[in-house]
Amino acid sequence: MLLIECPFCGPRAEIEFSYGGPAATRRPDDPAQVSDADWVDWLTVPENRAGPVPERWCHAKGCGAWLTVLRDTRTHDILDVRHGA
Amino acid sequence: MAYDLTITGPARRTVFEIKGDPSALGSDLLPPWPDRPCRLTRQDDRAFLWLGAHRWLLIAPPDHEDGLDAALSAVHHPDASVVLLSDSLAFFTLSGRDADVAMSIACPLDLHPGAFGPDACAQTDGFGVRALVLRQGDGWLLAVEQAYAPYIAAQLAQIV
Amino acid sequence: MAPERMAQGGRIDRDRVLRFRFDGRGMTGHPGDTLASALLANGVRIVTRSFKYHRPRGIMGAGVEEPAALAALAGAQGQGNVVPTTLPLRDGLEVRSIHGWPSVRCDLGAVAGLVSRLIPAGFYYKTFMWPDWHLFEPAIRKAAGLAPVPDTPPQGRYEVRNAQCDLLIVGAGPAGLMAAVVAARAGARVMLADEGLEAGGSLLARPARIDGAAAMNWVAAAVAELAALPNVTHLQHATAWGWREHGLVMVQERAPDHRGLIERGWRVRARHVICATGAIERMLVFPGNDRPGVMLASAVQAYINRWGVRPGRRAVVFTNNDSGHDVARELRAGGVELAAVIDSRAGASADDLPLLAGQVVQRSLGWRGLRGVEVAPLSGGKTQRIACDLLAVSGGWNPAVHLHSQSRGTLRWDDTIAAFRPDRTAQPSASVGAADGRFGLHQALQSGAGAVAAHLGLAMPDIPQAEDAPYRIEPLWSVPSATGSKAFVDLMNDVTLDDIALANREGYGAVEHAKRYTTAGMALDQGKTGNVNVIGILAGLQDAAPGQIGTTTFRAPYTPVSFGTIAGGRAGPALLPYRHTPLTDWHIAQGAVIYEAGARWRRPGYYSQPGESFQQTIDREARTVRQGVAIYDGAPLGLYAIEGPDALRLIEHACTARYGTLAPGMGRYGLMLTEDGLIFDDGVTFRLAEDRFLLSASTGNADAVGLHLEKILQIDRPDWRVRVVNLTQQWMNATLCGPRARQVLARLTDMDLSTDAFPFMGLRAGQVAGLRSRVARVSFTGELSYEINVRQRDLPTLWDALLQAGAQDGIIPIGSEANHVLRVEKGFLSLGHEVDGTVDPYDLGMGWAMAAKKGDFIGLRSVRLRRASGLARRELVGLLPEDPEVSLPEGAPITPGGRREASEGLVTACVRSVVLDRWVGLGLLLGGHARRGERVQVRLPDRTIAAKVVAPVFHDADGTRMRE
Repeated sequence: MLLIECPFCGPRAEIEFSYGGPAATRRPDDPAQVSDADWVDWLTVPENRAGPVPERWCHAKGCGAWLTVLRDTRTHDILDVRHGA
Repeated sequence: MAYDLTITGPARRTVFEIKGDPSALGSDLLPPWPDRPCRLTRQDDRAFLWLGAHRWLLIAPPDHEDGLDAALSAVHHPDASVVLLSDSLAFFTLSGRDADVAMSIACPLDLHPGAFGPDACAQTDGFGVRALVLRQGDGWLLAVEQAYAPYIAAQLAQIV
Repeated sequence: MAPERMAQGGRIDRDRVLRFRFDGRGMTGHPGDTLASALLANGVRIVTRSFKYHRPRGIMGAGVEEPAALAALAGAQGQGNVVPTTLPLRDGLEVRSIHGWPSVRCDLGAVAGLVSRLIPAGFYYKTFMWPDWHLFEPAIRKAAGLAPVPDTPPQGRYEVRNAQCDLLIVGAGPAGLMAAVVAARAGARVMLADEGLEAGGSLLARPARIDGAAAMNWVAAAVAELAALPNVTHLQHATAWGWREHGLVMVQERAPDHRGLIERGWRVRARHVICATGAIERMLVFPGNDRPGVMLASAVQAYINRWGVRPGRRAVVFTNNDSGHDVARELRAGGVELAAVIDSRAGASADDLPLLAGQVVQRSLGWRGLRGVEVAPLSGGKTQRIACDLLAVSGGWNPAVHLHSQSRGTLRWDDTIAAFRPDRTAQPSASVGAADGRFGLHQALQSGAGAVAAHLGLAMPDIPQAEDAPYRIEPLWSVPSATGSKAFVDLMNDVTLDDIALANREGYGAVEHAKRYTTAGMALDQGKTGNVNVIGILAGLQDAAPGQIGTTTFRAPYTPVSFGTIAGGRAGPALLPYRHTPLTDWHIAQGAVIYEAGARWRRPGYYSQPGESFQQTIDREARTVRQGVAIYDGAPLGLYAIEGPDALRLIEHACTARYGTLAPGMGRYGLMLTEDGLIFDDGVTFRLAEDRFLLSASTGNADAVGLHLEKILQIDRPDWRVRVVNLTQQWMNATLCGPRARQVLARLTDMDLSTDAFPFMGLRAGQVAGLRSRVARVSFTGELSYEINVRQRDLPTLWDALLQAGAQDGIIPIGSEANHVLRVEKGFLSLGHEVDGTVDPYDLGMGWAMAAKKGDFIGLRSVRLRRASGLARRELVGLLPEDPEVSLPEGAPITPGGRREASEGLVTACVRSVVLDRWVGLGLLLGGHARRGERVQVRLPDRTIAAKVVAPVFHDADGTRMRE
């Protein structure tokens, strides 16, 4: 079970968090202007490499903050945690 | 051997959640601001908790509700919401020599005095549901979503 | 006194006698005994029949490494597959041998041993593939040597504690105790967990000396010092069985001194871990190495020194390393006749021992028990027989690297000790003493103290004086005669040297493959004494070094763990706790059948009356709503306050409908989509003021909607000035529904309830039954309906008031079953039925809810992309079974022509309609909107049911009843 350093609450156990999926780049402001291919790419092709991967986690049972967590998928090392995107 | 543990609750207290910028509320109703998240201040039986990003909680005795409600529910500020949530939380107290042990069964927090001081507060996992934890006297205050109160009461009763 | 108990010695309390039974025979032991030491003291040699060949097996080890013996406990403390070497003896223990029919001494299944050539490695994979493994599994389990599951659940309870510490020290042998003392004196928060019944580790079993006195004196002093310090938690009989991410170590504490507690689990989050887990002796691989009377040399040593038990009368020691020599000396000191010491090393010498250097045991002799050994030079030559009833074997020592390895620390092969030892750490930790391959006592103390000093930045402290015994080894992975006979590498799973060779020949020579193909190392003991022999044998077969073969992955648990220790108090329904509404107890008192109706809320399913069938109850409740008036517990409905200058932006971004045109005091139905354009939730959003809204979410999704909205705000739109506050538990509603709802409500409120003053989709604040209320005129049943929201504390008062006010109109409470009937009659969607994560608004005929004119919102882009593809979709339809008295099973597939082929849709709901007096259904059907009037076939396993495709609404299609 991971220990995630919430910027507000400090290091907390993984059971306090909800996983929010891989972190995509920012949602396009006007999706209508984005090509079909680019939209599908943004929506469905998250980065999935062996190494540091940005993910969303919500400190759901804690302070409620949505976090972006940089987690190394090989080691579970957490390299960075920030509030928001 | 059995645990030296006294449990009270579930009970209702006066609770307001403040979301956004609490300076919008004026200072006379609230204890002074905590200086950082997961800290609280106390004044006149009221506790003011900084829970996290843009979230504060005011906890007061049950009989403070009407007075606070009259003052706070009228607040309509573009950058702050004040919402009565007294009914949403059920409060339990844990006291006795083994209250810390009971808390270690309830939640994964490090509650060692060096890690969780008298002015600390936290929301965490309590028996699998979201729980608010703070110190009360020599023991603990544990608050959960009231719908889970019967479940929490049963879990606490199981610790004997 | 038990027959094999020595007259003196051992760490047992001879003044107290514990009585127990083994297969019905009364026996005695003492506090301090394990079940194994007590059985040996009573002369029990066979305790188990083996898994596959039903060979008799005795106790071979003295701790967690036990490779052969298992037992079952009967009675109130019933437990299957108990390891006798780790179970403290208790008074009244009722012990059964495992797998012996009619008894462990005479096992008819042993005939399997005679046909063992027919059961080679991979046998199960090769034989039981067709048609389905599950056909064979029960019979195989019955034939296998495993204990049955006890008849009753364990009596007592379990507990799990969380703990945090600066230093977790695993193992209270010399290295671990030394580390703990240094860390504790420095003031660190220390947790010391040791799997043994008492502290001391290897010192408990051998006559070592520290500071010129018995080593156990030093142990006692260290334990006493730790006990006096408030910064130390010291657990005995507590195994660290799993090491997870970020310093989380799982500990199982057996038989804690606490009322009613069977076991206690600990989830320890440690900043730093010291692995002082010791070393485990290896077996030697020779024919008949499983015969009762063959034991690990270290176990023999422990039984003599620690428990005062003579495991045999005439002993032979068989070793490939120095440690066997000490055991031989202690055997002799313990009064056991020492027949010979067989040392495979040609250069071995010991003047005081009857040593046969360069020789090996070719096979053991005897039938049920050991009678002797056949010995020959390793290089070949003349064979001699030596009579004995005890053979102590030592194949060398493996550092117990399991925990280090679980933490993803790496290992390296060390030729000097012929074993794998820790190499790099992956989490903050260090291995010390024998766990690090440093087998000497001085080395243990020094490395224990040194690791803590290095971690805490202390100067190296003084350590007590102790000697390192010499340790030299020449690996012997198997004896030359082992091929073609029963030479076991894994006793519990009956895996032989030949099985490993077969796996290698058949292409399963990689160590992970060989393990799975042969099941070596997969039994309860996880191959603690045999796995490295397997690696050595594979290395020999492949002409490689053991380090090149590598180890299999070490996984938790290190030793068997009960589910109770993992779950603690969170067992049964507490695993996923239920939510209670303020009325749950009332419903139960009324005899309601309680369902979980989404998000773990306990809600009434239906209220049975005496003499009613299930269907009659549902019909009565549903009909009352259509014709009279009823109330429903709507407490769990999700409710969010959305406030701020950008509240409207947020709602229009998250929901499909337009809300900018909504007047305060009115609500609008909308859908919430995921970004991939599928329906996530639905609900009505009310406007309270220009910048304040109330958003309702379905019960099952209330929490998820909150997370979703916060994610939008915190991740994508942090600049928006809007707050979301969850009111679900603050305001709770009782839903008053039915044509007479208005007249009942009028008796409790001054509000103007006329449709002009309070129209459909209106929201009004005021007093109901003297309570602060918000009343929403919305309908999920198709009838006139008011959701009366009050504070949670007031809901029971409101509920009573409604029942009283409606008594003259025949008001009744209804449950979720009737609600389901009513919503299906109206064709209203339901999460988990029609909304199954595959549908978009158009599929459900709700294109009208897509207010595309307002611009972008979540899901729009993907819905458009999907629509542009023109591909046929499964669409919502009504289904009328041709036989009105036949129901369509919910979830049943619709297949083309009812043929057994890929489905073209499914039945999402089917109820007995009270307005049509027949069964009606809803379904998703490929191209369904264009297929009205068609006949489709619902496919069941044994038949089909014909149904007509109709519009998905069976009652009041234009919705006048709920609007009037």
